[in-house]
Amino acid sequence: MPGISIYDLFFSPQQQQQRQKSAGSCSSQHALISGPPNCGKTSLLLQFAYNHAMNKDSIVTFICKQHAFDVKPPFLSQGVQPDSDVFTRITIKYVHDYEELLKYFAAFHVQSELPRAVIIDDFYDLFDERKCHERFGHMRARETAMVKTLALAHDAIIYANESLEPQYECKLLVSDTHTGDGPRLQYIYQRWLHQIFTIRSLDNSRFSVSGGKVLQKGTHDDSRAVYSLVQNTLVLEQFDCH
Amino acid sequence: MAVVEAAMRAILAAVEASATVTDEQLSMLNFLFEKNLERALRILDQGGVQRVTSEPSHRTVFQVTGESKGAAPCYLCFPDHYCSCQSFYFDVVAKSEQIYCKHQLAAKLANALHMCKEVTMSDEELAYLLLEC
Repeated sequence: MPGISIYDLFFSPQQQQQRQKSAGSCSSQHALISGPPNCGKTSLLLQFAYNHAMNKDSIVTFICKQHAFDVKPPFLSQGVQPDSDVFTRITIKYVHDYEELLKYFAAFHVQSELPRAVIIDDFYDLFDERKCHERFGHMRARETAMVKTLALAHDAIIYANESLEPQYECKLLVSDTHTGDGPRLQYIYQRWLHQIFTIRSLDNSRFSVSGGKVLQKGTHDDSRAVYSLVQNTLVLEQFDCH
Repeated sequence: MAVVEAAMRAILAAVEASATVTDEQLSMLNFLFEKNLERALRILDQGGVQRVTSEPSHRTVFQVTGESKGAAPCYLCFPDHYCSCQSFYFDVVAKSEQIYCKHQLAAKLANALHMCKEVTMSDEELAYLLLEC
């Protein structure tokens, strides 16, 4: 199975075929996208969701905190209409905290229809230190909770890929905000999310996203894309593929 | 780490094909995992690995009993990547001192040797069980 690459953030699988681009030489269906605040992560996630819901028999689950879209509405790409019927195939699932995330993945196999993609926005923010400590009761409570959640999510996606028809695959894309050079708690993320895309700010409205290195299988996809957030629109400016 | 995992996969494939483990294979596993192998084999000898499968979805998880005498704790395990024991977080994830905890090793060996106790439950029951991870 192709896995997740930078192409998936901007193009649907059908569009990638038309452009004769492969969906990446990587084999992981689990990825993290990490970037500074207000760099368009949610917009990229929504574009990823849109790309994977374009097929009429595909559904996508987008998980975020309630009112996340009210506070910072994501931008749509050029050419994507807000009233497109593709959005009817994207289920927005609001969660208060990581425990609701655990319940979702624990019961993943009970769903009548498995999604083609599961997207989790602002993953780290779902883990309140006090609540994690109440449950796990030791000094690394938040990290323990993150480990458990990622493992359950990873298992759910593996289950989906074993259950779906061979031509379909289920992907997991998680976002997190960082203030330094890279994702916080990368040693945890990389154990289950084998692709890591890092966003860097070029100026106030232009950003680059690169990465996608598979840490275990030894294949690389060091593509880089430059995009901007202008007039409430996500605009892809440049794409370098390797 | 990738090299150790590849070696482990090769050994387990051979073990599964023959349904036995040779002295040479044990020696290689001991070289790779040292004391954890010894602990895993004790768990195996005690019949401490159970594979739980849900119906009708066929999603699975392993339950592995700890080594403590008396009321031994039971851990939930995805052998390739997770165990609910504390050693998994501290020794495998945080410190990267081990590749697998003893429960993961026990589950992998039990699976290869067909020594798992098989348990079936409903999809809903498995969902509740997975929340106990």
